[in-house]
Amino acid sequence: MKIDGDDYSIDYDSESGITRFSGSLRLNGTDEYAPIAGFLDEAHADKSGGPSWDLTALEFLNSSGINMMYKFIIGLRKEPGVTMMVIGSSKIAWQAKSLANMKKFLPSLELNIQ
Amino acid sequence: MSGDDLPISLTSADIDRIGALQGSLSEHPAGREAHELLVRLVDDLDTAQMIHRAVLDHATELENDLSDKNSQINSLIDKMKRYLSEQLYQQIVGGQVDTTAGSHKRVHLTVFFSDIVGFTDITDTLEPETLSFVLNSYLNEMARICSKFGGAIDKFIGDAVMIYFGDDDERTPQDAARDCVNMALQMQQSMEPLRVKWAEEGCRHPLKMRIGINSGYCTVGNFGSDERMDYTLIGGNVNVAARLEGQCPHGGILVSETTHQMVEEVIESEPFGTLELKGVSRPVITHQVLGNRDADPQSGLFRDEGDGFKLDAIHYDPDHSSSIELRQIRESLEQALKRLSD
Repeated sequence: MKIDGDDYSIDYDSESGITRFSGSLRLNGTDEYAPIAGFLDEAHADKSGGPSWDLTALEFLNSSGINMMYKFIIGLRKEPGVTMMVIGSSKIAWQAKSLANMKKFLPSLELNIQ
Repeated sequence: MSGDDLPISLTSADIDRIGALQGSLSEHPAGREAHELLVRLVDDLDTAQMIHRAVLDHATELENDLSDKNSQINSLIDKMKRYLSEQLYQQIVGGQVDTTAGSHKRVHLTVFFSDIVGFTDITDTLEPETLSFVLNSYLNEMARICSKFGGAIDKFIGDAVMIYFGDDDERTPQDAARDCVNMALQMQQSMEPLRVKWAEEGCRHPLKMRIGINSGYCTVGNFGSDERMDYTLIGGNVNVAARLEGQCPHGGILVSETTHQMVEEVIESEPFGTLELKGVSRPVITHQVLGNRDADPQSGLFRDEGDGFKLDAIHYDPDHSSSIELRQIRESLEQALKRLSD
């Protein structure tokens, strides 16, 4: 499964179960992010265990985008025992703090900053 | 509640208070249900508060990163300004420039070329520091005067300077030609104070500037490869200006007939003959500029100093002194003699 935008791409690899984000996500508000939220739900439903996101090639994510991601993670709280892995990059300035905040919403989330 | 929090007044202390009240309501099923709903509501508010803080952190991070990048860009733009003509700088910074090779336009311009006679010969005889001082002070002064008259410096090549006027919508071709010739006159006037300064630094060669000016349609645009290009001008009229410079008397300003016709109302000049120029198919009628008709009579070598006066150093060479220099020397000496006989 894949979503391609003008400046971004989100690709779910069903074999590895990893969703890879790349480019620059700068959509406007919840409405424009709704298809991506739906895509992430589908990917999650396809994979047993918990979701894995690779954000190492996501250069830019605006506030509406991080809001959508945080809400998705909060939604996982309703699933006891769920595990989630997020891979980030130390070379991308915004990821250091914003990815660390994901653990506040889901303490079991495994964060791997490369 | 911290400054980053949402303005929600209900706190967990309020929930504890509701819990205490529950005792009196526990006998009543609706009371228990109301309490459970309130607990869920406060949980949701806590979560909303957390999202709000985290999104705020994210936005702040992006804004700070943006601010850093803006500072880097501004610093880069500031450095870039020294390497580009004002026109090109404004086009790039204003986002109007088409940076693809091959983009060009035909524009009516007045083109200026200058160099310092014999500069190459002295480069081996001067200390590098003196040479650097001479060249940088010369180019700085020329760039300052060019900026004052609104010219665009196309390039510096050693001691040679190429400037053009007219690649904008603000001036008529006549105004562009007039500004260019007035700029050239002021550049020649600036040479004497420069020579004094250079002599103090150890360069005693009487360096002189020569200038060629021509007006006409030129092709302006990006020329070069996709990797490295130059925003410059090309065409026969550019070549004429460059060749006129080579034929110009030392310390003089040589203009083509085309430029002369555009400025003759305000600029005084004398015929210099019809020249065969290399790479130019037809002979070119030329004129040597003498001065601005409205010029301040004291702008030459004579300087009024209250009851007295000062004469700048006079360098006369019958083979090479230009008409401007001869005129300046004559007028300055006449002024000085008149003052002495008064």
